[in-house]
Amino acid sequence: MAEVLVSSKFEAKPQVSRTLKLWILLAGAIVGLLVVSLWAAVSGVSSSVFRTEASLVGAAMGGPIRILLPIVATLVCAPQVSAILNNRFVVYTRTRASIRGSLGKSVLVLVAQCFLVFFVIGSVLTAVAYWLMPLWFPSSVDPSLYNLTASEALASEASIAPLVNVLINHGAFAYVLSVGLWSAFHAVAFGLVAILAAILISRVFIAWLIPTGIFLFQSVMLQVLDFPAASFIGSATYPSGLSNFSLGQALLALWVLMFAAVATLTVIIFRAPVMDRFA
Amino acid sequence: MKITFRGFIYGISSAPTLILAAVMVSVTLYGTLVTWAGTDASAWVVLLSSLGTSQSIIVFGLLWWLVRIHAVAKWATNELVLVRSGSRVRALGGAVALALGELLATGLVIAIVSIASAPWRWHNEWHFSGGDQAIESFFTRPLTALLATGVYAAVAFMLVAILLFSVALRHGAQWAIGVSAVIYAWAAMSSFGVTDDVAVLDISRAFTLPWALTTGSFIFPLLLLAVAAFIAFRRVRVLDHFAHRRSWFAFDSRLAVLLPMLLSFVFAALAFVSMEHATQGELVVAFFAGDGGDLVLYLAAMGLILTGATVAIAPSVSSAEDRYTEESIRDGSARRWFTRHAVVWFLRSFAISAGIVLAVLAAALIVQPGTMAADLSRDAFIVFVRVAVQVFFYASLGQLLLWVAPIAVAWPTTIATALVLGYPFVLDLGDANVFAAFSTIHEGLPAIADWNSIYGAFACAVAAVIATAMRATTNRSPSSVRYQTG
Repeated sequence: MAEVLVSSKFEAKPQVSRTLKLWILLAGAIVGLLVVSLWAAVSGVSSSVFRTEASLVGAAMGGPIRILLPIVATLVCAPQVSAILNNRFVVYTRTRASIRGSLGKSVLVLVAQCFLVFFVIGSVLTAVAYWLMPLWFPSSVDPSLYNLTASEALASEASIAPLVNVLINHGAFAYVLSVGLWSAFHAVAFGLVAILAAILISRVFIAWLIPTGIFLFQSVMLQVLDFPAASFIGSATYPSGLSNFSLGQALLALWVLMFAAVATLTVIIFRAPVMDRFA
Repeated sequence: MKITFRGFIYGISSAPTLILAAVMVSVTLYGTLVTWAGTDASAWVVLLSSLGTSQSIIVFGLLWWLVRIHAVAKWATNELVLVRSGSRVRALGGAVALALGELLATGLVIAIVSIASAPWRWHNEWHFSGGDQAIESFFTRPLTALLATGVYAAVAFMLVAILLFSVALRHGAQWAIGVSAVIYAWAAMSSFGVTDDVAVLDISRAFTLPWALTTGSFIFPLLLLAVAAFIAFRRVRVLDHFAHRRSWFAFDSRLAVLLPMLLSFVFAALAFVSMEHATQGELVVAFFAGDGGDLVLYLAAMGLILTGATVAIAPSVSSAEDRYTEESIRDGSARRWFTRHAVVWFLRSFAISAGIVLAVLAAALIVQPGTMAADLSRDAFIVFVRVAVQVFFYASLGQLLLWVAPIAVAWPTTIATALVLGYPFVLDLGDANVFAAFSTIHEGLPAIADWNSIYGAFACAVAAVIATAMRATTNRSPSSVRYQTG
């Protein structure tokens, strides 16, 4: 059995360029998530009538992506960190490069990837839901069914989904970008938590579940405690709710997570030269 | 716990505590006999207005506290204590526990003697208070305000203690004396209003809740708190201490089995507060509504089930990752390794499911007591069977994945897929919903013998067990002996 173990572990594999592989993985994540979200959006849109195009965006951003955000952010950010720590890559690299520098660089690159993935997904989904879906399903948007004019419908939508104010004040293009930025910043916060978990917890099986655990726990607790706007399930991809939605609460949740993650990660990078984890 | 109790015993009989208590009694008596003489103000209002001022808390309280914790800091920096603790972080923990005990003891003594010296009028109303407006509009009852003020001051005191202990452990107790002198001088000046014109410097807000509410800003105390915690943690290298402990978040420990139950109890208790149902059995059934309930309850139930499954397979995963070769040689064959772990994950699945359902039931009994239903056990049993089948399904799937793909990637992906497919975002699977088989309960309680709704999940679980057995017993090693990339 020993031979089987060794040969399966160290078998020579055809080498693909690392960068190419990375781009294929990222593109796969984007396309896969987009396909699932669009499928869910189409199956929702084809059977109901919305009051404005903006409510259609809310429905598209309220599908599977709402739950998948922390998991995908983890799978984008955590593997590389776990790999360099568990393969003793760091130990060999440290003789040639400063650990602070290399760790900081990895974190920046991973955060940028995470940002890119969710910015693309958020803005593409919004653009499709705002411009294309009303063309595919012409009967899916009808404010008169709600006894509203188009502008009244937009105003009432803005009271439950605050980003619609961007649409009213700055136009559709800014709206699409703002939704992309909103979900990208939330994904970055969870990506940072994933990096942190991968550094602090050496058992990978557990470490990669931490961001999703925080997401689910925080969402259930705050929803049940009647602060739905501050729960990540209600605001991480697209802030919207059934009654008046306070953007302040949603931003507070993001700010707290981001602050905690950035502060702890800064301390870790700063202390990296003397931490046992990197030795 | 033991150290806290020891601190409590030290604190309750020590001279500084008694001196502080005497000072507090005189302050309260002054309030009773002079400031509030001839009014109908309740004892709580008098206590709050005399003990809750920044002068009482800082000039007397903080001084006493700094004297007390200096003794504790000297104890913690003693070489014998350090050696016995094993690390600075543990020595810090011990010092904090001791200080907490002393704080509790003093709180108790002060509470007893001040209540005795306050006017004996126990109505819990603000009227005739004429005191501080900000705290009156924030709390509806003076007793709540008094308790909140006490807790607020206690938290600030403990924070100062942690900061000074970490300075003492890092640089020696004499440095802690210097730091505490600076803190006391600054706080005392703030409490006498020297810094009122420069609000940023007003540290007394961090100790006194009524004053913090009057000035209307918590940002500064929060910032101080963050800075103090940062400095303290940096001094004693808390992060390093945790970063190289392998057992941190050890889901494969025996104690981890309690985690799903704890989560179940918290989630269910919170959910039941807003639900109005007739019987506990119906509450339990409503909690596991699956895709028939709202998204949040669905996520809560799925979260419990997936946490349960993770805990159930964690021993197998760590065994497979760390010492598969050694353990299978010791067992004698791959088949015996597999059998041993199969028994463990089967039993753990059912024990955890029983714990989840019992915790939810306990939450129902506590939150909405007195409506005991005759067929409570029947309802709970029906839910238990469905939860157990679901946990067993995910545990078996995890075992299979362990032999097919790197589990660290495969398990989050499985969770993502399960969460999406269990709730009809994309597909409405109906009775074929093996990802959240408990969902069918919402269509009316099924009979105990009605297996249709859970047959799918159970069949899938059995298939996964058979596939795992075939894979695991034919001379193969787990797929993720160590997580690797490239």
